[in-house]
Amino acid sequence: MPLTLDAIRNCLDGLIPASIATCTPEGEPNIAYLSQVHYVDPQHVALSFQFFNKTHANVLVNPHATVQVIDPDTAAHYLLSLRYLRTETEGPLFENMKAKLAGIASHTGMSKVFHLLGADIYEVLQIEAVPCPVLALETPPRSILSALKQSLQSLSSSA
Amino acid sequence: MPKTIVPLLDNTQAAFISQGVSINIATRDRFSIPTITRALACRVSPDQRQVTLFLSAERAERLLENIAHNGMIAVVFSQPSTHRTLQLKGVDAHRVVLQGDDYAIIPASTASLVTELTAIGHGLGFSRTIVAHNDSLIAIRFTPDTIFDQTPGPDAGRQLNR
Repeated sequence: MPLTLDAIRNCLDGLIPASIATCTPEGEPNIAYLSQVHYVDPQHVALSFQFFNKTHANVLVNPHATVQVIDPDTAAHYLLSLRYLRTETEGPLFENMKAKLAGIASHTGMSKVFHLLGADIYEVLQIEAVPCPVLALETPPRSILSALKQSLQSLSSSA
Repeated sequence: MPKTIVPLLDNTQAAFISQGVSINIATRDRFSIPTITRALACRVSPDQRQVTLFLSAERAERLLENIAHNGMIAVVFSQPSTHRTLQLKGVDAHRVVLQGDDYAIIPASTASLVTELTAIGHGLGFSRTIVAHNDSLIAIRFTPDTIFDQTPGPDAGRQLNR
């Protein structure tokens, strides 16, 4: 069964920095760390766009990117194959990410550095687990945020 | 007189990438689709012109296909406690055979990363698992031709070897 974003939601809490690889049209790879991979819905994530850097320049011309996320409990690694769609600079998603980034910045001592310019929206094409050692958990992981969001959506649709 | 070639890495940079850093590699396929592979350790050559990366073989299948196709590589080295990060790029990545003393470098390097991770609050079990590997190791060597400051902030991406 294919991996889903909901199944690896624990990796998107910002506790462990993710990394993103992109590529120029000429084929030069680039890799950088990301402070935030934000869950949008089961098929989309938003990445924080803080500076006009090589990553952002690359995806504007070659939309394919790969993001590596790490489970903060088990150390499991996952690779997300992504396709860049657009950048949002206002609205609920942007404000949500801005608030979350402020929390991450405070937690990591980067409050004077992190500043959100936009939310880059990507379609998730595929998720694969990296073959690597994984720490066994005493209790099975639960995606509490996913369950909460689904409950709220059920409530709002039945209202 | 023969022209002296100045190595890309200075002594401080060579020391920085050799201990206590998280190492991740980007390569790309024939369709310019990138992938990421974690490395466990690296060795800088005595003349500081080449970098050899050590990684788990089971993670490296796509990386090996990619470098066999085009040799292009980008590698980030980041120190968790300071966020200081360097990115090196090259165009001649290729597989090499591990040498005897490489096997001593790897546990020393991974132990220094475990120290870094536990110092910022990660558990010892988690930190050891990050640097663990199930199977045999392989080595990739490349000649860095560009170096970037990738430390988070407005200067991230600044090329250091102009």
